[in-house]
Amino acid sequence: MRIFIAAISFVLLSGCTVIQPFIDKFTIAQFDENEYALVNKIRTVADLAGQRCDDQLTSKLYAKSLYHYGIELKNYSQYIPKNEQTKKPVELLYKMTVDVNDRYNKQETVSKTYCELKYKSIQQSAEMIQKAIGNRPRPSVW
Amino acid sequence: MIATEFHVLALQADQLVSEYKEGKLTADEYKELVQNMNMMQAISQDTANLEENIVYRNMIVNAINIATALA
Repeated sequence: MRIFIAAISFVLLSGCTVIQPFIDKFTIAQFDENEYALVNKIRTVADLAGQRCDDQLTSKLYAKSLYHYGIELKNYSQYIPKNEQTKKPVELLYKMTVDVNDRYNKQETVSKTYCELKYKSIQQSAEMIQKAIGNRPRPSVW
Repeated sequence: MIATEFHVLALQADQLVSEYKEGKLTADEYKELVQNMNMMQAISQDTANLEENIVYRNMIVNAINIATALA
């Protein structure tokens, strides 16, 4: 009993600092349809791009388009409250889109294998993020 | 990381190494794709953590709702 009272007193006396990390862990930003749509765009464009790796010009245009969506998603997610857990994977996805765009800008001819593997990995990464954020709680209608 | 994602990553890593050995990638492209695999692994871990937290959060909310309804 004494230990229990001591534990409760410790929590009460130290305010919310002890339990705050626990609360933060489970307070998650609600489902955001714009964020979800942007991730879906990246996934879809990467999927289409992977099918056009025979055509350098088309894949280059897809790379540019992915970079635009990547930066748009990164900026959009940045200031959504309680969205820390999404920011990190989104930044990594953004970095992938930067890399592919840079590659097409600096290299005259990009290998077909690179094209296929790169777009496939962007598509799969976007799908992982989409799956996670799609499960987020929907805003309450009440 | 869930098993399916791990399997996808493992397959992709295998493909990457074999294609490089066959000379279908430049050294620079290969290096970038290896970094890419690491990023994918990190994304997989982060999203798995997020999904786990969503599950716990939903359990807590459900428990609170049930307790409120009973009160």
